[in-house]
Amino acid sequence: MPPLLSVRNVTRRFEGLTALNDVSMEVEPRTIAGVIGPNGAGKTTLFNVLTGFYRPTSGEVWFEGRRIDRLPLHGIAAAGISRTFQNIRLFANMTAIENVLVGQHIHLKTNFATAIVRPPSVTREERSAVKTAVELLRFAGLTRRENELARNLAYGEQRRLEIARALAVRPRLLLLDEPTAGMNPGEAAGMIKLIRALRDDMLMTIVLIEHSMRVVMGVCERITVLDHGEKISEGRPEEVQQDRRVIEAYLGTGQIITDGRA
Amino acid sequence: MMQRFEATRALTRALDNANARARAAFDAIPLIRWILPLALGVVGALSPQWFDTRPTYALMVLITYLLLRTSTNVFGLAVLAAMLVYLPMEMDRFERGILFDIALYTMLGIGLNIVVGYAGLLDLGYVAFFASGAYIFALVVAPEAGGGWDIGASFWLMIPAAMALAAALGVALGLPVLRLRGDYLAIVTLGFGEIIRLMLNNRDDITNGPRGVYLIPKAHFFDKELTGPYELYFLVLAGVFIAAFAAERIRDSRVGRAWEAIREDEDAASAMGVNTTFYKLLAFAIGAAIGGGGGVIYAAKQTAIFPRDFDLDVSINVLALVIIGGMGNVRGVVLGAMLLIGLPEVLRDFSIEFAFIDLANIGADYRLVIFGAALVAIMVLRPEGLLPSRRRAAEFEQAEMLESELAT
Amino acid sequence: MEQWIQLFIDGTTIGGVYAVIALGYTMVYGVLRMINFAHGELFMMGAFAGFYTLDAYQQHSGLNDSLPVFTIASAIVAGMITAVVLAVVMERIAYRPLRHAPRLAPLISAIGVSIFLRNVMLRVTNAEAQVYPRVFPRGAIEWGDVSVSYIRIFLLVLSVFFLVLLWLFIERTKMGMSIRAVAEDRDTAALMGVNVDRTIVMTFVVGAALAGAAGAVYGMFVTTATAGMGFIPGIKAFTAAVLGGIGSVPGAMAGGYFLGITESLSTKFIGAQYKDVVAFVLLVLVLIFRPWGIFGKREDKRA
Ligand SMILES: Nc1ncnc2c1ncn2[C@@H]1O[C@H](COP(=O)(O)OP(=O)(O)OP(=O)(O)O)[C@@H](O)[C@H]1O
Ligand SMILES: [Mg+2]
Repeated sequence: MPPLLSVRNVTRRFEGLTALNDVSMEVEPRTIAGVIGPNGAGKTTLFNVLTGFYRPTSGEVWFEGRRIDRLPLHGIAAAGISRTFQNIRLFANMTAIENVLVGQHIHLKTNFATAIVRPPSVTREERSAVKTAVELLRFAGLTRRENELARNLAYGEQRRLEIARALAVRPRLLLLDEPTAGMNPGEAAGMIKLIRALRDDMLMTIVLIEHSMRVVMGVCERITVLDHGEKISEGRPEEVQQDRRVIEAYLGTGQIITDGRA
Repeated sequence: MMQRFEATRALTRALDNANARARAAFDAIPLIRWILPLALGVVGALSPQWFDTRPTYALMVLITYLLLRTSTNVFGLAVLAAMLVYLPMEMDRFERGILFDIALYTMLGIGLNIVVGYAGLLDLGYVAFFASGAYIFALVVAPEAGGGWDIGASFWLMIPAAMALAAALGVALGLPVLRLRGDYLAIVTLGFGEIIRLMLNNRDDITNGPRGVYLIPKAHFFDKELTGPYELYFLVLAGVFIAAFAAERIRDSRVGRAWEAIREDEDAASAMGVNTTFYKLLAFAIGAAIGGGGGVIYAAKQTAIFPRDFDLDVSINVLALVIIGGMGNVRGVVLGAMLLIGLPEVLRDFSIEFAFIDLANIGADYRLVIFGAALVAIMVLRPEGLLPSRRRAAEFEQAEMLESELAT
Repeated sequence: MEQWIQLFIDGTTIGGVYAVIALGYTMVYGVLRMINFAHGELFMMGAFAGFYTLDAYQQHSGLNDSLPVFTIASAIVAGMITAVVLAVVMERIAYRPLRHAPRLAPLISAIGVSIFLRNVMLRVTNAEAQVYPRVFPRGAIEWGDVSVSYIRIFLLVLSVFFLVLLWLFIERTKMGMSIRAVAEDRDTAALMGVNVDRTIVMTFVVGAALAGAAGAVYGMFVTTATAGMGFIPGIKAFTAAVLGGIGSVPGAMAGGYFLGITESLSTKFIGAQYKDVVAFVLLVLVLIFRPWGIFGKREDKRA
C-alpha cells in the first residue's frame, strides 16, 4: 500500500534556529505512528508544517498523492487532515456541542442567504449535524456534557473534546499533539483506550506526539524520534528503545526514557 | 516611606471596594424589574400628554431596558413594537427627529455589531459605508450632481443597489486588511473612514466637495411623498426589523458559528476548515450593506448631505452604542442607541438651578462631556455592556477569573 | 536643490513633533499592548496649558523681552505637568481597572477619555480658537532661497533634545530598564522584582510629559490652541509609531521624521489638501504590507 502521508526532506528555520532539519517520514494507512523527542526537538513544529501553520523552508509534504505544503490553513482540513493542539485550543466560550459543530463546518452547506430564509433543507441539515455531534461526543466519552461551555469542562474532558472536534472534520489523518499531557494515570489510560478505538473502530490513521514512552510503546506501530530538529531514529517501538542515539538524546535532558517528562 | 505606601494601598483598596459596590448595585436592578415596568407602563398609557417631556424619555429608556432585559417572549417585543409605532404620533417634529436618529443608529449598530460583535473585527471606519450609501444615492438622483434621474420608483431600487455597492466597497477595503491583528485593524479602518471623507471633500469634480450634494428629491411610497423624519422613521424602523431579523438568523447558523469560532481562536478555526478570510469578508460585506442602506435613508431624509456629516464621530458613536448596549446582541444595540443617540439630544434642554449654582443649559453644553465620562464609567463598571449576549457575558467572566487568579 | 532642502527642513520640523508624540503611543503600546486613544488629547491639553501660561504672563507683565526664555520654558513645563497629571489620573481611573478585560474595553474607555477632554476644552473655550501671544521674534535665517524661521529652528532643536533625553532615560536609568523589561514580558518582569504598576504609570508619565511639551511648542508654532487640535497630530503620530514598528522607541523617532518629510514632499507635489490623505494612505499601506513597521522585525505566529 502506498503511504498516506509522506514528509520529504522538510527543513524549517526560524531566524538562526533550525527547528526541523531535513526530516523525512512516511505514515501507512490505518496505523498509529508516534513522534517523540525531548523538549524543543521540533515535534510540534512538524505538526505545524503538516497542517499549514508554517510553510517548510524547504522540502515537501504529500498526502494521498497530493502535495499539500502550499495549501492555505483551511485547505488542509478539506484535504482530510485535522489535529489537536498541545496547549488546548478549544473555542472556550462555545459549548461542547458547538465546538463539534464548528468541526463539521466543511461538511455543511448553509450560507448567509439560506440562513436568513431558513428553508427546510437548512433545518434538516442543522438537525442531522447536531445528531452527528452528539454521537461524536458520546464516542469521546462526553455524554451529557453537550451544553457545557468548553472552558468549564475538566482538563481531561477538554482534551477529549478536542479530539471529538477534530473527528468532526472527518479526517483521514488525525494528528494528536501530546494527548495525555498533564493527565493522571487513570485519565491517560482512558485516553489510550480512546486512541486505540479510533484506529480499530473508526479505521483512522493517527500520528501522535508523546513524551511518555509508556504511551508510545503501548499504542504505536512505528516511532520517529526527533532531537534538535533532526530525525535520529525510526522504527518499531522496541527497535527505537534500544537505539543508542535515542538513549543519549534522552539522557542529556535528564528525562527518564520510560516514564515521560517530569 | 512605609506610611506613604500604606496610604496608597489603602486608597487603592477603597477605590476597588467602591468599584465592587457600584457593580453590585447595578446588578441589583433585576430585583425591581417586574414592578417598575408595570407601574410605568400603566402611568404612561393613561397619560399620553406625557410624551413630550424629558422624564418620559427617561421612562421610555428604562422600560425598554427592562423589557429587553427580561423578556425573551413575544409579549415583551409586542409591547415594544406598539410603543415604537404609537410614540411618534404623540411627538412634535423635534422629538420625531430624535426618534428617527435613534432608529437609524440602531440600524447602523446592528450592521456594525455583525462586524464587531459577531466576527470580532474592530472596525473604527464604519462611517465609510454609511457615507458611500448616502453619496451613491445622492449622486445618482440629485439634479445638481449631474444625476437627476427620475426618482419615482427608483428610490426603492436604489436601496438594494446602494447596499450592494457598499458591500462591494466593504470587500474591497476588507480584503487587504483582514489579516491584521485587532487593534491594527481598528486603526486601518479608521484610516479608511477618514480617507473616504477627505476624498469626498477634495474631489469636488465628482462630489461637489464641501458644498455638499443638495436638492435630493423626495422618495415616494406609492402616491405618498415621504417627507420628513416622521414618514422615513417608519422606513428605518422597517430597516431595523429586517436587519435585526437577518442578523439573528445568521448568528444562529453555521455562518454565525464560524464567526464565533474565528473570534474565539482564529487559528483553531482555520484548522477546522473555516476559511477565515472569507467569513471575515462576509461579515464586512453584510455590515457594509446595512450601513449603506442606512446611508440611503439618511440622504433621503436630509435632502442635502455634506462630507462633514461623515466624520469619525459617526463611527465612534455607532461603535460606542454597540459596546455600551452589549456586544453581540441586537437588544443591546437598541438600548445603546436610545442612550447614546437619544439621551444627549434629550439632555439639550436640561438645566440645573440649585441654590447659587446655576447651570443653565448644562444639557446642551455638557452633553458630550457627560457622554465621554459615561463611556469610561460603563467600561469600568460593566465592560460587557448593559445587555450582553450570554456568550459575551461568559467571556468577561473568564477575563475576571483570570484577573483574580493573577491577583493572588 | 534649494527647494528640496527647504522641503526637507520643513518636513523635519513637523516630523520632530510627530516623533515626540509618537513616543508616548509606542511606549504605552509596548507595556500595555493598548492604543492610548486619548494621547492626542494630552498633546492638546499641553497646548492649552502653554497658552494659559503665556497669556498669564502677558496679562501680568507684558511680553516685551525680545526672547523671553524663562517664559517659554515655563509654558513648556506647564504643558508637561498638565499632561502628566492628566495621564496619571486617566491611567488610574480609566485604564488600570481594565487591564485584564478584553482588548476592546480599554480602547473604548480611552475613546471616552478623549471625547471627555476634547469637550471639556470646547466648553472652557466656548469653541473658540485661543490665539497664542507672540513670544518668538519674527524673522528667519536665510540661505539663498532657503528660509527657516526662528521658531522652526527652536522646534527642530527642542525635539532632538527631547528625543536624546528620552533615549538616555530608556537606556541608562533603572526605570528605563524596568520599562523595557515590562514591555518585553510583563510576567517575567514582575517575577524579577519589577514593580509593574509603577512602571506602567511611569510609562504614561514619560509619554505624557513629551506630548505636553510637544503641545505647548506646537501651539507657539501654529499660534493657536483649539479643542480639536489633538486629533490630526495624534493620528499622525500614531502613524509614525506604526511606521517605525509600534513598541519600538527608535522606530517611533525615525517614523516621525519620515512621516514629516513625506508630508512636506506631498504638499509640494500632490497638493496641500491631500496632505492628510497621504498620511492615512501611508498608515494603511504600512499596516497592510509591513505591519511590523518599516524598521521593525517580523514575528512568526505560533500554534
Ligand atoms: N514561531 C517560532 N519562532 C521561533 N522559534 C520557534 C517557533 N516555533 C518553534 N520554535 C522553536 O523551535 C524549536 C522546536 O519547537 P517545538 O515546539 O517544535 O518543540 P517540541 O518538540 O514540540 O517541544 P515540546 O516537547 O516542548 O512541545 C524550539 O526551540 C522553539 O523555540
Ligand atoms: Mg510540542
